[in-house]
Amino acid sequence: MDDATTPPPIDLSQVRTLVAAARARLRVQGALEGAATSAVAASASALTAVFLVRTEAVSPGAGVGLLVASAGVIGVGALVGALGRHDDELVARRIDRASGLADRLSSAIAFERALGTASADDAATADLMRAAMRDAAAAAPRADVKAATPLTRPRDTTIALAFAAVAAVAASFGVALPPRDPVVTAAVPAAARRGAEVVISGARLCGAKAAPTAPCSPEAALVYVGDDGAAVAAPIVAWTGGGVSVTVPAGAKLGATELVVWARGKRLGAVPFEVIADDDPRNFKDNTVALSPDDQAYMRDLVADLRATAKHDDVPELEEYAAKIEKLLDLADQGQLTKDELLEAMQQAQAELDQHAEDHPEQIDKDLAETGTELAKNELTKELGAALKQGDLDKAKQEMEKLADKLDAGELSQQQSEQLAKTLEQAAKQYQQKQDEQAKQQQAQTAKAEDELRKLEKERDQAKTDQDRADAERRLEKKKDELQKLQKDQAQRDQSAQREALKRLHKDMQKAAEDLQRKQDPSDQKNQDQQNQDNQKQASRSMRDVADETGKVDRDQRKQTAQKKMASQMDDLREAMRRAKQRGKQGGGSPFGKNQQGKNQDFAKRAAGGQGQKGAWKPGQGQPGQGQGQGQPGQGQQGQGNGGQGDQPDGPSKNYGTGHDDNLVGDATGTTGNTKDESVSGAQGRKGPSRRETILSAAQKGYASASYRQVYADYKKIVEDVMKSEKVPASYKYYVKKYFTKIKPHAMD
Amino acid sequence: MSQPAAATDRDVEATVAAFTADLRRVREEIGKMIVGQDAIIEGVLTCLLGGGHALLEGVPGLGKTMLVRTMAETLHANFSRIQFTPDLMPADIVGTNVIVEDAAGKRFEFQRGPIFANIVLADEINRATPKTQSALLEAMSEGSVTVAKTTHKLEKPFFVLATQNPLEMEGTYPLPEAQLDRFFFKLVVEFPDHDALHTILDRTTSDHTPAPQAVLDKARVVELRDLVRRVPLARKIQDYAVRVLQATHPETKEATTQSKKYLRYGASPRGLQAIILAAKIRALLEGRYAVAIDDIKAVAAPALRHRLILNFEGEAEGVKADTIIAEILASTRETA
Repeated sequence: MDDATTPPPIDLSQVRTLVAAARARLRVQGALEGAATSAVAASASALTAVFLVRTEAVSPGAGVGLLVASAGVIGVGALVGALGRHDDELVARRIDRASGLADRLSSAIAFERALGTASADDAATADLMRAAMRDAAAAAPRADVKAATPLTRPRDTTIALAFAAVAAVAASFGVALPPRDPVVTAAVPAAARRGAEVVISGARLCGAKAAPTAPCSPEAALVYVGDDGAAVAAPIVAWTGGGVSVTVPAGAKLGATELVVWARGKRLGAVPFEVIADDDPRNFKDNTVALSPDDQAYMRDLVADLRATAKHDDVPELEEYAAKIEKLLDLADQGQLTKDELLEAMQQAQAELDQHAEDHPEQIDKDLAETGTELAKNELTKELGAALKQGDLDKAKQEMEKLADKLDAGELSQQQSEQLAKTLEQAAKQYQQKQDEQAKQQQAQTAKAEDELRKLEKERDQAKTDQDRADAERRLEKKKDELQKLQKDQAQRDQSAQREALKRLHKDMQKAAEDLQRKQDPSDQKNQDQQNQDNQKQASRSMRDVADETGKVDRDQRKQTAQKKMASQMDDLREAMRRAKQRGKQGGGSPFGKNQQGKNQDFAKRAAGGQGQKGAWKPGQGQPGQGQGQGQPGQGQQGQGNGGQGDQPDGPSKNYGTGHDDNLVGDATGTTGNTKDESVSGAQGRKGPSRRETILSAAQKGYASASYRQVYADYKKIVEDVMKSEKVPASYKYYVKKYFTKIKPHAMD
Repeated sequence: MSQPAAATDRDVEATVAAFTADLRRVREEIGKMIVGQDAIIEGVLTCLLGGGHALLEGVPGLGKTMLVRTMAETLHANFSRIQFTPDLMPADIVGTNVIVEDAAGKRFEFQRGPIFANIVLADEINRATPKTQSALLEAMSEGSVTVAKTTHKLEKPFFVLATQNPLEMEGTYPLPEAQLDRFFFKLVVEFPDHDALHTILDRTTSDHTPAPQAVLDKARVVELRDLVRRVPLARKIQDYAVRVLQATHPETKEATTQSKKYLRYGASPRGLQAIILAAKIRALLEGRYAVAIDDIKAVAAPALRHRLILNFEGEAEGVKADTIIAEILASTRETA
């Protein structure tokens, strides 16, 4: 259309006003809807804020902030609802619908937009569009905006109100705050001796939020035994959220008291506690092993022997073993070990000591001697060979090191080097040949045994009678045992530390020989000497390895020798531990009567050189064979049965009993032997006191005199010889050895 | 008809007012003869102005032939009635070449069939064979007939009103879907109500026989058709019509529960064209210049009902297409 025919603009302002009004109402409704919906979240948020404040998870200030934020959520929801997009055409259609305007307003708005892009071809339609727009403008007064956009109750009103009501009710409930103050509840154990560790159990000792196991170090942390002026501070071992470990101080008074816990200048609480004596039965559990002081002394004496031997013979493994046993004795003394645990630990220590032990040390000696014979053929290794032949491995090691020094210094001539190489090579080869022969022999033995086993199995399977089958089965089992033994021996040999060291020793020897024989360039005459020296240096390193391996064999041999030497003491230890009683089972403990403890103390004094307590050994003080021998707990079992009954309650029995200590192993001593009483008068010596006088004097004044030591040494040797030569039951040996341990003067240690 | 460049806004409004007035007069004239069938009259007029053809379905004796005849008289248009029977041949409809002897001698001359009229009543169309049916349907679609390689244009306006009896289905040839699709509207002629029957009796059993007057000529009808096509509609309203059509297709996301359950195929784009044109006519009839959503809703049923193909379940349960269309109109959102 040209300008001349341009139609006048159509005034749709009235329509727009209607649309604007309707949109405003829609925004209000949207705001209400948004507010209602967000009020649900706001209620939950406010309730959370209230609870956070009540549970002190957040400060009141922060809680108020959260409440304001919750209210803000409603505002934000209303804003979001109000700012929703409302298209003019759609708003107009709502008015059309509500006012029965047959889409006049919405079409007018649509046509107004369309006319802006209408082409000339659409002119006819455009005329009708304009007519429609005029029609809409004319129909505008009939529009009912309120009906089109009613302000209704938001959809979520009910839910929001319900949430708000629930939140309000929930907020009015009180919140039971979890306890926050630190408390102490009990001492575990409730009674303990001085020096024992006690745990004061409690809660929140490191703060309300700290885990019970979390350690901490509160300021001014103190624990007292007692709550008065005589309170003694107990050293704190550990402090965690769930408890405080303290050591009962040495100065704590015996008896019922309290453990009072302080921290940060505040008294956290007190728990009842009792300080008990060391010998109080409550110190120990019922099933732990109970070593009498007598047994303790005996075993510690044996351990001391072990230690002394280990130190003397330079056997660290044995010393370690002794330390382990000593620790076991300590634990047993503290009542921390059951008898089973004690024996198991003892067995384990023994197994560790025996680990990789050589069953046939003489074979090792023989192998070394043969190597020594080979080495003795060479002037350079003559001394080394001799030492090996004599089994003096320490000297052999020194000789090897000397030889290594010479090689290192390049002191050997070419010829000497070659000769030494040949000697070493020969020794190594000879050893290797022997090993190969032994291996072949073992394999042959094993193969033969296996072959025989198969034959016997076949024989058993084909047996015609039950008798034949049983016979074959018996032989088969025997052969299986043989085979197992063979395999076990072989495995032990393979694991033997000495054999391993011996193998490495010869391998290093072979290497040293190879180093010395390393070929030199014959055309390079100039450098031949230098090459010779280099070869010797290489060989020197191998020779030092040989020396090291020799040292290892030496150490292991010394260990085994020491073990062998101390086998008797180790057996005694095992026997003593086997005899140990459990706490709470005191019966059968002592053959020396009830007053044994007093006697032991007196004995210990005198053994240390002190004056014994008069009357400690007064006849009638002890109660051997006391009562009717019913095995009353604590009375011992000596004299149990018909015999051994004391004629006088406080006197020794005139008859020997027919029963025996349950702990004794073996038959009871026969009572029908032919005996003849003889009275032997002691001969009075001229020099010094007689043995009798010495012993008497020792019994009264102590066991520390030089003469007594001599007497003791003599008697002990005799006793040991007798123990070895005579068939003395193990249970009796125990008592005898224990007796001699008790009367041992301290200077013998 | 082209819009004069200098047409004023007043002219447009006058044109539309004239349209409304003309159609009102036509309805009044037809109403003299036809009683109680206002919706059918409006539907037939809509088909006429929309350039389409109408399929009337109803039992005999409801005034279908009278309606067509009266309409022809009021429009001052040619009218012909073809009674479809099984032995009716295509040539009986479109005409044939016959030998004519005159002074110049013998020659072939095309003898026009009854199809050459402005308004054709194809009575009981489903009784003719498909071959004959298709001869009529070609004329409906193309607006011309071809006989012996000679095409003969049909005079405008060309409007076919086909009827079919839903009861006597023995020995009939139901129209295939492709041919049904060529009908602008399918109008169901209902039995007149109590008052209408009284009026019918008053008018037909007395000595006074009303005579309809011709109020429009054929040229005016063509003008009115052009005006209809210029009626604008907002894009959002057109979008609504599209979604209504899509809802008839069970595989689309707009499909309703019943569409999915009972329909095999939905309506074709011809159905959508019919809806829009009919909606425009309705807007003009009501004196409006643009189409409203209510116009779409009002014309959806006659425009779509014969275009929906029920599946086996729908056929078995005797589901009516109108029920499905009603559900579609109820559930389709007016705004996207």
